Amino acid sequence: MNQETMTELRVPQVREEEKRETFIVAIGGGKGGIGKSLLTANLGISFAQSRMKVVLVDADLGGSNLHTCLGMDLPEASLGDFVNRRAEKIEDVIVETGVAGLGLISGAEDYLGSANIKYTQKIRLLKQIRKIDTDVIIMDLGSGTSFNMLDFFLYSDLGIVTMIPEPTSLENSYRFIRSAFYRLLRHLEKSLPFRKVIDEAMDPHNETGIRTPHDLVRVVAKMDPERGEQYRAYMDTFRPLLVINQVRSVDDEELGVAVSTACRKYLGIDLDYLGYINYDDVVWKTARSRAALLRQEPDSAVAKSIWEIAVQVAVRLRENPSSTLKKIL
Amino acid sequence: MRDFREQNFYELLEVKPHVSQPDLERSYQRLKRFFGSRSVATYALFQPDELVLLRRRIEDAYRILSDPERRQRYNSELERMDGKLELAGTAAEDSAVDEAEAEAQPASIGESHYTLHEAGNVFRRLTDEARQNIERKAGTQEGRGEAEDLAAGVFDSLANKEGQAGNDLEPDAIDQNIPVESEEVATPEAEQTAAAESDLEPVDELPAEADTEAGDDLEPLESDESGPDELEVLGEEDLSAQGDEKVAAEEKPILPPMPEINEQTIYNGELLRQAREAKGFSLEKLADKTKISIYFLRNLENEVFDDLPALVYVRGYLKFIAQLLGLDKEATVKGLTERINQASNK
Repeated sequence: MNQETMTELRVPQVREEEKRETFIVAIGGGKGGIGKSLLTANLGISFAQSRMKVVLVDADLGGSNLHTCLGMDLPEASLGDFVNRRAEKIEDVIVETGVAGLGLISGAEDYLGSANIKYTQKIRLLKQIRKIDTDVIIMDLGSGTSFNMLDFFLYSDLGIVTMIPEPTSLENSYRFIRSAFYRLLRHLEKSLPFRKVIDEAMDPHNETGIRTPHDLVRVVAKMDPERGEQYRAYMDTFRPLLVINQVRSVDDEELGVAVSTACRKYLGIDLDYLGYINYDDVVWKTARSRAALLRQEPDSAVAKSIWEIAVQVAVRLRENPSSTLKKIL
Repeated sequence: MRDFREQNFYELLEVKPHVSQPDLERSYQRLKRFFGSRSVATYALFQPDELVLLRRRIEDAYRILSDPERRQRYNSELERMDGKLELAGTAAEDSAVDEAEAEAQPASIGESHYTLHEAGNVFRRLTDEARQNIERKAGTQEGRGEAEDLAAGVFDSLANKEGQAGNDLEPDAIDQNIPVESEEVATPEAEQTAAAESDLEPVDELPAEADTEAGDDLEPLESDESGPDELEVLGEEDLSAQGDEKVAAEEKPILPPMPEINEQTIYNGELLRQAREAKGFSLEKLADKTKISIYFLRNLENEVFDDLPALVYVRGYLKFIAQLLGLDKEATVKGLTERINQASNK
């Protein structure tokens, strides 16, 4: 059912704009172990099974495990080979996954080399990733709110934040969203005094009392009202997506809407709630048997919920989203 | 997107201005759950005091919007502050419930189509009716006093810029409006009587003149752009005059004295309260006259500044309040704004 919907959604999109660049979807969110790789791998499979060409990128620099979620052994070629110029073209490090139409760029094994990637290397990497000849790229981001992760997230056309219904996860996700927005402003702002204000805001213990984007806008508007309005406009265009993982109860299902509302009210950022993934034993069972969930247990409730999310992503891709960061890099 | 402190009641409850009662209820119940003490969604975001404030604002919003009459008054208030409430253009989305509601209140101006421009047209129509009424009544000696009441009623509606003011034009409904002219003509005793009984001495001024004035004053309403500033242009004289008349007419002489205004006067919430009490206005009365919610008025007087609309609206409020209370507008706005800023910088 959902697969048919997906296939229908796909056709006009590909035909409309043949020369358009590849869409990038990024999956992030503060903490580790909240289902980023699970979602990336299975979203990838659902898109590929809907006859779209997909390349997954394990951008978890240092903690890569996307291949495991796909039921694969660690591939020989990895992102690190491209970053360190052992491979000439990025296409050279794409490996087959056993699913037709689904390729994988595995995460770098040499932790140090990639985690300390330089700014210019990062830009080159992102631009090369976008040039890969495919329909959709899905990036699995590492945990934490390092500038690298934030930039990967912002460079994507759709950025998905995952969280699980636990206070620590919520806290991390909120921090991630807030940091991503400040980071975006930091890229957009050319004036030094204002960059300083943004840097201040990024420090959660800053002395200026800026705790939310609202506060930041207020402070900036006092210095320069026009700029304040501009910042507010940026706030309205920044629209991350939300997926809740490990949902166990009806209350948890509603949590997505609640989190989205709280985020809107407090941070002033419109967090677009896509859907949830049930808490289910099949997740760890398939992980244990090192198989991809969507292939091993296609009829499970979890598989169905992932298909629902896939449809939501496809619907949003049809609206031709475009990364703000892409335009200025 | 605005901070929840700056959101209007519709934005707070995350509903469209023409929302139906059941949808409003649903949204309110949901928000109550989301921001209730058992919700995890607010973890790591809101400070405890911010949550208390947000919950209070949600309650306030629901209390006002769930009551059709208060909601309508609130719409007018919003409109006066915003220039126009974004109600127009969404008619297509109106549910059957909304239509049923609109039908149930044929006397009111359809909420969903109520723009300031239309309000201007309504006033025009009202004054046309008033003019005819006045002319008709002025034809007879006995009718003159009533005719002036009618003219004053038009002034009053204009000052309040209320679309629903049509009802006020009914002679019975006129809230003791005393024409400004009576001051010059009537003796103090006559004034008292006249005010109390709405039974004015016939005066020499032609009612038609009052009519013309009303017509002139109407003009600014034709414009779509309107804010608090225009408000003061509209009601300038008759408002303060009316305020004075009111005191003379209705109140027993036991009123606290008007606070002394000199160079040392600090324009603060307390001064607003003293001035209001000197005028013999209760908070309710002031709220009714200004159509500013009593909640905000009380917050202004008590200097609870963290729960007010955006400053730009507050300035509009202050101008209007100062005018009604006979305080210096500039000084009031300046003084209170400073206090608000001081409080927020702490």
